[in-house]
Formats: sequence, structure tokens, C-alpha cells
Amino acid sequence: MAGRTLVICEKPTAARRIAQALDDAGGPESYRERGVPYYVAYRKGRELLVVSALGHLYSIVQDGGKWTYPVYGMKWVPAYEASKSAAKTKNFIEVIERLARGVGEYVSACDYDMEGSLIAYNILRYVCGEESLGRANRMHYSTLTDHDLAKSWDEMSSSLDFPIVTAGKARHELDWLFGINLSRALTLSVKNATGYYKTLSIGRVQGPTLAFIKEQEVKVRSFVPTPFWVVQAETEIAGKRYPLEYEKPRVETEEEAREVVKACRGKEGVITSIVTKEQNQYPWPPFSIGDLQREAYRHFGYSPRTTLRAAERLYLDAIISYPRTSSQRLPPSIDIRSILTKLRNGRAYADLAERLLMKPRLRPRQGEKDDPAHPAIYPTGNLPGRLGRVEERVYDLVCRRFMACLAAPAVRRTVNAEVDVYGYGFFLKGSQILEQGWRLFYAPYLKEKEVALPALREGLIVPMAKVGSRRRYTKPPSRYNPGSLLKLMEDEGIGTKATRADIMDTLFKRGYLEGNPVRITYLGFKVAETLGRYSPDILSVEMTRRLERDLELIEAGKMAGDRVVREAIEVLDPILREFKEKEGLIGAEMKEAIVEQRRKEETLSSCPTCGTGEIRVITNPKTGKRFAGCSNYKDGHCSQSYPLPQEGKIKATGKPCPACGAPIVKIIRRGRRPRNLCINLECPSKKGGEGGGNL
Amino acid sequence: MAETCRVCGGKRVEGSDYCVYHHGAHEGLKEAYEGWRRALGIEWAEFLDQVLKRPETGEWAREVAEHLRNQYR
Repeated sequence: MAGRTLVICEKPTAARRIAQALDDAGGPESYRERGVPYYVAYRKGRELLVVSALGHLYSIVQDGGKWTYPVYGMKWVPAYEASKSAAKTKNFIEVIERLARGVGEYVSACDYDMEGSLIAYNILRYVCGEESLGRANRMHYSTLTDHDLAKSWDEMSSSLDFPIVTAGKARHELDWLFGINLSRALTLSVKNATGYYKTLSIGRVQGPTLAFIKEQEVKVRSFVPTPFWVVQAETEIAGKRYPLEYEKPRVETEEEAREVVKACRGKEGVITSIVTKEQNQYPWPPFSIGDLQREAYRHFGYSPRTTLRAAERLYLDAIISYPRTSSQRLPPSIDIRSILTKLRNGRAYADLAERLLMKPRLRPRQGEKDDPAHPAIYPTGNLPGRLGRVEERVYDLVCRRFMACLAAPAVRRTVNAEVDVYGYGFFLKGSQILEQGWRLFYAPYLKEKEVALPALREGLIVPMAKVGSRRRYTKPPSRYNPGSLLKLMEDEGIGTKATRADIMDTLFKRGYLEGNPVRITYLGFKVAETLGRYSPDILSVEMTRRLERDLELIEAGKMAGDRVVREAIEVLDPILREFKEKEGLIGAEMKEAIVEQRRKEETLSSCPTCGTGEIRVITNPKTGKRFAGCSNYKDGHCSQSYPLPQEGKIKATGKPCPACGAPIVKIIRRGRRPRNLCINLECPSKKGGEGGGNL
Repeated sequence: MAETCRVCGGKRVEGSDYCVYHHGAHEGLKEAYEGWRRALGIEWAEFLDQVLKRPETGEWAREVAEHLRNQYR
């Protein structure tokens, strides 16, 4: 094997770890050229040049032509040519190009997934030259620990993972085709129909997601509650009160509820049967990324993106395994005992790990979902240093779930006693954990209550210590939250494990969604409504699902990437032509939606002075400065106005200042914590220099 | 019959006084009334009053209920 070997990594942190793991002495030479780090390592007599990308160094742009649609001609170019925000990638490309000169062999050591494979492929193809593709190997690892990286090096495949590369390339091209064409169509519909310009966007995954949220919103806004009654009763045994459940969880009429209460109040019941069961409760499987994101949202309120970022940081520090996995399974190749031994050396999980290590066999509870590329998320056993709050919590979830899935089942005893009160049936229910099993390991995240019952026997007479009924109302369906939205996307096959969090974020950034629970904005609703009316295929979940299936077939080597892209163009073309025919109608509706959305965003409150106008954010056309003023100003009815801060984004809170009644706004500035501010400079809350009017 | 939704001025659904969303909410109100009548034996007007008091009532259902109640007065 002649010459040096160029090892391509995905990120600088990964490059450092890989160089360190592969260097025989564990201390590679470290260099930095124009801000680009690289390493020289020596392994079994071979000289390795370990370089890093900065994520994708190449991206897709339109190949000639104007800013219009449809456009199907595209090409891959250096990312810095496609976007100013990718300016840093220029140095990376140039440094890799220089280092690649005279290299005899290449290794793709990027993350083992579609994106990683494509990052390395593009660098090899465009920076190192086409011929490098035939001289490239692929490392396959799921953790960045020294042991796994060295093993991966020894067992690396002798060629690139071309099916995955082809699938990755096709995914980028499909997303570009749909994103560029649909977003331009939407934006140009407004511009061509009304002369008004605003960037609007929609994509093949954003569209169906938005449509689902809109459907749910329609259900919430149309909901009409209906009343029902719940019979609430208690009995007293040995001086202690226990709740009794009436046989019908919901009583439909007030009359029936009254009748039950009247018939049972002050009476005694008799226990007619007792069913006692002892059941094993098996632990949950280890985390897939979706499971981890939902659990982190449920317990800490973290968005899927926040959790993913924290998990990725833990992965780059070699503390947990690769997080972008849909697997809920741990294969036998993972040395669980060794991981537990390392965890035992730390303070946090020493006792728990010790308990598991005493077991002669360690078999994880496996889930149903599998991922051919990576196992479920697990701790590597490497002990973390000082972690940030988010990473610490995500790490705790991963560790505890990993240990729980190795533990014995919990044993729960349930008692269900039927109580007859003159023909009316009640249940006395108890539930107790007899053996903690895995629950001990996952205790901080379990919230179930136990109800211990006294000794019961059939024929026992129990008094109705309390009987009453309460009117309740049916509840509207819940709006989605980040956790349930992620679950919906998973269940509906929208997006991938790696992209779902980003898609949700994009919908927020576009102003289509807001808040938590997630509310669709006026603009988001109108985009979904208008596209649903004039171009429903854009919102079709079936179309995006079919494309996802095709991408899986490419990855499995059963379909050609070019064919999928060609077929997607055949699907897209009639959609775009039909869109163009209806452009005028779509544009007019979208313009109305944009104007209304802007009006809503600019309206801070009703006017506290005249009571009939609205306080709105107004920009002075001469100075470009903004202030807040009453909408009745133009008619000469009200001159109420307030100065506004000139920097940052202003959002209405809908709340009046408790001290003066003027609107309170939220000021959002990049890199700063948002603050609430009463916009009245004369507000009594600002007198005396206390707090500067922040609320 | 007016050409526009009596609540929001949007395009009316054929054979209805309302746009597609308020029409859906109106249908929901009629369906729910059966439940309320069975449960409490109340008349339509009282039902509308009750629905308007409930925080669970959706925005469009509320607007239609308000419109219908005003018709009664």
C-alpha cells in the first residue's frame, strides 16, 4: 500500500477522537491551517492524515436559468458558493484539497448514516477526484470510543457504501426539487398576482405535517362539549377511606346520576367478588431517538431539536452511542458487562450498575423497531466530565433506560373487588408493586400511584361513607405538543429520524406555527387551506410516504437513484403546471393571509385611551423608526402613541400593564433572554429606577 | 339567503348559512344538542347559553352559537 491514507471525518471533534483512537501511541500530531484542524497519526506503519469536514461541504443549486418555476436542472457545488452562511467551508475544501495531494488511499470515517456517507462521497468526488472513489474504504462505528474506532478500522469495508450514498444524494435532490419549486410557486403566486413580495415556503414533508396540524385545529375550533356525570363514592374500612368507582365511568343524564346517588347514599354494600392478579411488568426497551425526544419533552419540556443536539454532543464526547437511530434493540456484540463495570466506577450509577453486575446473565429487553445501521442509544461507559444541564438530563435518561432494560421485570399486584349496593355496582381497586425490578433503575421518571387495600373477603359488608355526583364535560382534542407531533410524524411515515426535528423547527421559523401546545398561525392555516383547495397533492402524505419508500429501496440497493429523481419530476411537473394555472387565485388568497397575519402581529392591544382603536406597531416611512400608535389616529379620533425599542423583535403578549393599562410587549433580541416591557414611558412601574420597566 | 357566511363573511357552503368551517361547527352544535337535551332536558336557547359559558367550546362553535343566540333575541 503506497503513500499516505486520507481519513475523512464529519466534524472537527470527531476527527480529533478518531485520530487519537487510531494513533498507535494515542497522541497524533495536531495541526491547524487557516482555522482547519487536521491530524497526522501512525497506525501499524501507515501514515494517516485525519481531516475534518464541517458537515456538508457541497450542496445543490439551480443549473442556469431564472428565479422561476418549474426548475429541474440542478448541480452540486461547494457549499460556500451556494450560501453566504457556509463561507467557512471554503477553507476546509482548500485545506483538504492540499492534503489530498499524493495520497494513496482514502477512508470515509464520517458518521455511519446517509448524511455521513454523502459528506465523504462528495469530498472524495469533488475534492480528491473521481478516481479516489475506487480507492476508498468505509469505517462503520456506532460510538466514538477508542475501542470501537480501532475495531472499526480493523474491520472496515473495502469500498464505499454506495447504496447509502446514492440514497442520500437522491434525498437531497428530491428535497431540493420539491422545496425550490413549491416555495417559488407559492412566493411567485403572490408576487405575480398582486405585486406583493414575501418569501413563503413549503416542502414535500412540511406540507403534509402542516395539513395534519390544520386538521386538528379545525377539530379544536369546532368542538362542542357535552355534559356527563361521574358518580364519586368512598367506603371506609378499618378507619381508612378508599375510593369506589361506579360501574359506569360516565353517566349520560343528570336524572340517572341523581338516582344512583339517592339509592346508594348512607347504604352499605357487599363485596361480591375479588379478583387478585400478580403480573410481571416488563421494562421498556432502550431508546430510539424518537423515544428519547418524547421522554425528554415529557419530563423536561425539551424540544426534539434540543434533545437531539444534546445527544449529539454526548455522542461526540464518546459518552453515548450514535443517537440518530430508530432501533430499540441492543445486539449481542455490545459488551454490556464492560459498560456496566465502567459505570460502576462513577458515583452517579455505582450502586445500580453493581446490582446488575451481580446477575449471571445480562439480556436486554428488546423493542420491536430495528435500524440496520445502528443499535438503540446506550451509554458507552466513558464517564462524563462536567455536563451542561440539558446534557446531564439527557445522559441520565439514556443511562437509566439502558440499565432498566437489563433489569428483572417488576411484579405488580392488582386487586379488583366488586361491591354491590342494592343492585348498583362499584369497584374497589388496589394496586401495589411487590417487586421493584427495573422500576428501581428508572424511578425518577415513573409517576404511578399505588393504592394498598386492607385484607378483603367476599361477603364483607362495607359502608358507603360518601356518595355524590359531579357534572363534567367532554374535552376537545388536544393540540399537538412537540412530543406528540413527533409521534404523529413517525406514525404517518413523514420525514426521517434525522430530519423530523428540523422540519418542525422550519414550520415555526416560517411563521406557520407558534407556541406550545403547537398552534397553527393564521398564515399557516391559510397556506394549508389554500394549497388543500387548489393543489392538494402538495399536502398529500401518500406522496411523501411513497418517496420515503423509494429512498429505502435505493438504500437497500433495489432501486436506482436516478430513476427515483426522474419519477419524482414526473409527479412534480403536473402539480406545478396546475399550480401555475391557478396562480392568480392562490396568490390573491395568500396575499390576504399575509396582510392579515402582519396586522395580527402588529396589533399589540386595544387602545386604553379611546377604547375603540387598536394599538399597533407603526413604522415611520421617513425615518424608518417604529413606534406604537392608536389605529384611530388617521381619523383624528385618538392620538395615543408610545415609543418602542428600535432593536429586536416585538411580540404582543395580549396583557395590559397592571400599573397603567398600556400594552406589555415581549422584546426578543438575538443572544439575549426575551423580556417583557410596558411600553408606557410614564408608567408608575418605571418610577424610582426599579427594574427599568421590565415586567 | 345571503351569499356569504353569516359569521365571518367567507364563502358560504351551498345550502348553508355558513362557510365550510362555521358550517362544520353548526353541525357539531346540532349533534351536541341531542346529548344536552337527553342529559338535562333543556331547550335549544338554553343549550346555546350553556355552550357559550363553557371554556371547552371551540372558537368557531362559539361564534356560531353566539350568532344563533342573537337570532333568538
